[in-house]
Amino acid sequence: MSTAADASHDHDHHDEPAKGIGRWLFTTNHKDIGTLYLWFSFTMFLIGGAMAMVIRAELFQPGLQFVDPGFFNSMTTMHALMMVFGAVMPAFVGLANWMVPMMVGAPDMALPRMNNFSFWILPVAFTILLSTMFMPGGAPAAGWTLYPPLVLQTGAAFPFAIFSIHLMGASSIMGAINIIVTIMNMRAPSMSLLKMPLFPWTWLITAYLLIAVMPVFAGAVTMLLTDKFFGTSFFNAAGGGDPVLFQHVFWFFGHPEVYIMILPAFGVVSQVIPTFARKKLFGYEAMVYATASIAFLSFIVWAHHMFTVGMPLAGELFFMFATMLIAVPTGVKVFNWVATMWKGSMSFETPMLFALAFVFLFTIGGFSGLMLAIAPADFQYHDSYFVVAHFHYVLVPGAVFGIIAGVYYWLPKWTGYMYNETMGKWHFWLSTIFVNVLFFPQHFLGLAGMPRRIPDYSTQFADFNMVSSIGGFCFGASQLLLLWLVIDCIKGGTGKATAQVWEGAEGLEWTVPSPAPYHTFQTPPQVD
Amino acid sequence: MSAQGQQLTDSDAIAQRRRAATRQAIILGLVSLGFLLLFILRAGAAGG
Repeated sequence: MSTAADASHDHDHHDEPAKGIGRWLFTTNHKDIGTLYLWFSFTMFLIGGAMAMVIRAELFQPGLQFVDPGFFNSMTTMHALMMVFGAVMPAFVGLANWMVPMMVGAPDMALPRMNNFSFWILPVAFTILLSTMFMPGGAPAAGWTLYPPLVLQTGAAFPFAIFSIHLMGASSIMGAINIIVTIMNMRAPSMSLLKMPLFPWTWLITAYLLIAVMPVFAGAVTMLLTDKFFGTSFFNAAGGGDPVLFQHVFWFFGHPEVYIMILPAFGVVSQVIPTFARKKLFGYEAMVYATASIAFLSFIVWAHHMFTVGMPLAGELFFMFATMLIAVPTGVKVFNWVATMWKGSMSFETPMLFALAFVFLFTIGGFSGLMLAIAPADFQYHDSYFVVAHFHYVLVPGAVFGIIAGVYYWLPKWTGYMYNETMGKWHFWLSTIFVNVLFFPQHFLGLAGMPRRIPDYSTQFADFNMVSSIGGFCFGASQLLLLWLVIDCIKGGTGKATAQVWEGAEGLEWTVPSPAPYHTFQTPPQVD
Repeated sequence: MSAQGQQLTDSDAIAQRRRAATRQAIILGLVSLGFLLLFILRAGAAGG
């Protein structure tokens, strides 16, 4: 792809980062802010993961063991909100902050102060959200979809939860705007859009998705707020409103949100696979157009989440076929990743292993998505554990493995040291085995009729639930290895990393030393 | 051109690009707010 003819840097001012806590509070440096996002995301991943452990502990056996049903519902709701808005999205923004400016040859993000602000909103938002667990009536418990009228029964937590969602939305929109204007204005002048690596490309498209749909979510929750406190009836049938309208508005946001969480993972994998296959990415332009097609289609499929609500047959057919259409550009991507590996000089370092697992396991999630897209079949699967299995395959070995692949891939560039490859492989194998032990049995539970969001279940579901819970505990515990590996790498790992780090790595970020200097590309590099 | 002159030119260019970025960011922010209002007004028109 692109190489730099001149990777020299000018160090005229602010060569070194500030000392102490002030560095992190007031930083406008994209690398510092990337680091903040990534640590914040990992913290949320652990908290959201702990909530998942509560869920799996309760479901280990039939009957009520540990928590009351209301708290269980709070756990499913909070787990989802924490993982979606606190773990996955900030992780990708962190990767974007670190890597996008370096990959496009920019000295920093275009709007560094706004970058600082968009990060520091997040700890405030999540502190508010977590504090709702200690309020009268408990945390929100209506599911992350926040459907009325159920969600309007939330106690004192309700306005706080809505406010925290507004803050998360504001943070995401500012982050997205920053990424768009950085890519559009700060790229090295010699880097045309179609010379840009795939990770910035997928992020550019994701950022447009964010700008289009986060305000829709903000609008939806604002309407919930006015229905609850200001006497409006947007979603109240008694006042002439329609609760189903909320579902339409929510999923107009919610479905593109799924792609917001997966498109940057596609970008990471499209960087990792060519590096370890030692070949150029197969079908670069097709990859770009496929990403854009997926983003477009994500806006016209939302009602597949609502087949059982009741809609005209023509509507069901449209949303069914539009959903199935997404398999085409997704298939293009999977084909191109496989074609990139074809006859490549493959090696299997940890980032590549996670990227390969991504391709296999995300595809499983994609196929179960196709099953769910079939409207008449969806009447059987809807609200069952099959849906839980489907979206967890997309989000855990999909989005989360994409993040982990990116972390291992770029960690030597960030720290200047190589991580422990043996432990990385242990982390990979434990994660990959147990993520399947955790989620694969949930397909069978769903097909056998187990509903989602229940703390107790019929004894016929006992065995698969126990297997799934064991997988969950082991998967959760294996993630502590990642924490250890990252800390070990920061402390020196297994030795110094070279500038290129990986033999097959190409692109501007690999032309700067490891660790990347505090300021890079203050003189725009030349791109071939 | 001297190294100093080159650097000045680069930093000017960057400042110029940041100004363009700010203008675009304001437009994107307004578009974003527009979506928010559009959906609330549309939902209101639907019966709320």
